[in-house]
Amino acid sequence: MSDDVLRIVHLYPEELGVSGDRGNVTSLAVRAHRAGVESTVLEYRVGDETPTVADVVVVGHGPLSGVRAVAADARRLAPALESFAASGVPVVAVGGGLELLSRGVEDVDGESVEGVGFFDALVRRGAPRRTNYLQVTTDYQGDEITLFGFEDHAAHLELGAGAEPFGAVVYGGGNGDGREGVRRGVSFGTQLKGPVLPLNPALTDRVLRVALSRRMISYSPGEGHVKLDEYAAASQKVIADNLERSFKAM
Amino acid sequence: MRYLVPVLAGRLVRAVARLRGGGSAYPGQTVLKLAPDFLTHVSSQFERGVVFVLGSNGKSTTTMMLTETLRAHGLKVFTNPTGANLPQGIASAFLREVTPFGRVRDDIGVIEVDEAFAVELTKSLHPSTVLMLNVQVDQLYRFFETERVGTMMTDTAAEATVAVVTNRDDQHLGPYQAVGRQTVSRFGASPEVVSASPNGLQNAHDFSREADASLTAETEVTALTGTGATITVSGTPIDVRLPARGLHYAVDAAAALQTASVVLGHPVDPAAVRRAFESMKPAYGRGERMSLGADEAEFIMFKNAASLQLNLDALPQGVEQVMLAIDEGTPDISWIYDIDFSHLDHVDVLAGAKAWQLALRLEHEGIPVHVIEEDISKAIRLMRALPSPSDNTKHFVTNYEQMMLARRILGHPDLEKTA
Ligand SMILES: [Zn+2]
Repeated sequence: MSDDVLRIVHLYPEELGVSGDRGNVTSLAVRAHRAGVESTVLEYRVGDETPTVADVVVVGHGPLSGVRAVAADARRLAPALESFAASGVPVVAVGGGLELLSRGVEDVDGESVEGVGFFDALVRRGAPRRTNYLQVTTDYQGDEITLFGFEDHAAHLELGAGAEPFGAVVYGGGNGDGREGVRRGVSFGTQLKGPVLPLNPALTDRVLRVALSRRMISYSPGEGHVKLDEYAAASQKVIADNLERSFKAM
Repeated sequence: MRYLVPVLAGRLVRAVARLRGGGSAYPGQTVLKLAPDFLTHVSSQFERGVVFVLGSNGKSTTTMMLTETLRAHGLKVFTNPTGANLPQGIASAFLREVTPFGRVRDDIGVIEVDEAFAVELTKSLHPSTVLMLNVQVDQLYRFFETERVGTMMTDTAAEATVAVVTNRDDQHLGPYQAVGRQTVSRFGASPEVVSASPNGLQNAHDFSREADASLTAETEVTALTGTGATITVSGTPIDVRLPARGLHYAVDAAAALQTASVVLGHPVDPAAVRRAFESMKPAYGRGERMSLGADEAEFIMFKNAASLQLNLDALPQGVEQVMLAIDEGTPDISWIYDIDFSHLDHVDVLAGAKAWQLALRLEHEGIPVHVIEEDISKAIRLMRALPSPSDNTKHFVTNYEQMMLARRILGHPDLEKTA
């Protein structure tokens, strides 16, 4: 039984955890649990021993000061992340976490932060600030699905020549060119907050299937997921009805 | 004579606005249009100067505590009503207080100020003392970076002509250094008190800086017991009754007492402090009670993750009836996943457009929700229809916008709000 455990690694829960990012971890754990799969969560902090096992890696959002504070430590994790990717472990990165795992952040004043280089993308800060709902479509691990969330950033994301976006923007800013986020195999980075996984169960289920199929553990949502899915759908509908609403930054 | 016409015009606007049951930024706007230097004219008359109260959370409560403490020491204090913390709102508040010729009779002004307007307001109000309470993550959305909010506060503090009082335990604000001839002193909560609180102080982390353990506080929360606390001012412990439950109110009290000591020029008198706190009523939206059929509704307003958490932690154990309400007035509520809701074993009614997102959050936690009703007036009707709880109290935990709607529905229109 203990072999059938989903092992979640959560990177920098404080520095990159200002947008309810624990919610992404909670969503993975709760949906897995209600499908009969238990999970463990390893919270990784600056200076901790490099994690060697993971079925899914989650890193959340934080301000530039948060990204800067963990960047040197995170670069040390690059080989571990590469080996996870090589063995098919999905890495899910949101906002500041995406920035951290990119090649780096170029700030307006020329001050830059060197990233981990896990995703072939470069963040250019200084774009007009966006605080609005974000609607995205993605064919990540299946047919096209529609995702909803909130974006709050002032950056453009420039993808490397061979890099693939995570999805396409239906409403909102995303990377600044109609594309949203970045994908590398089964891993992705996105600006979708909300948090993205509880709010978008279809995406969460795909991440869980990728993470668990590697371990030959089957995953299928059932009775216990009905309320989660119903509330998520109703939340998405309210967002869809309010897409045009623009939120002033005061 | 210069101020006679502007003051009367502003008062006329205020009278009209009141008849319509509305508020209140207009009178201030009118007077500022007719007499742009009105704020300076009034504030320069306070013999003991002007105190600014700044912070992400707790401004209103602290302003009230400081005001009442100074009054208990015999001072005549002018203050702005809760939330009227933008320039027009402050002008409206002055308008109520001055003679038709623009004279004030108070000794000191204690003014809560919105941090976004604080630097600008130093130019007209010339604060002698600036009190900085805290920087909390909620403001991330408004100003993108917590550091920027912290900087807005410290830039304002730098303009204080006499003294700055700051929060030792806040990584942004604690290390503040005196500018020019101003003095700096600090308040805080003892480590024992903080570690006994289920979710700590909820201040924003400043990731570019290590906590400075060498900073000392002249005034400290040294014990917390239900709705009471011990605040130790320059070595003298003072037991106070808090206007509502929670560590944040105790820290606000420490901030108020340190600032009062600075303003008075000597540590506060324990007997006067106890008197002041004994008679204090909860601030607007912080435990305010309104009648609801045979029972009472108790309102707690939250602005952000920190205030929601602190307020939930302060609810009585096993709370019988509770409604949560949140709408589009709070745009991004991702942070609800950082909130520890375990204090609630159920929620009776969820209201507001974001009720579904809250329901989703609570379902992840396995906390049952009895009814979801987006429409606040229907939701209040549902709460009213519930049988009387044993303590006759139905708890309403709401964001600002839902609270304003709820107040109106319950027949409590709001007169002096500016937002
Ligand atoms: Zn109940």
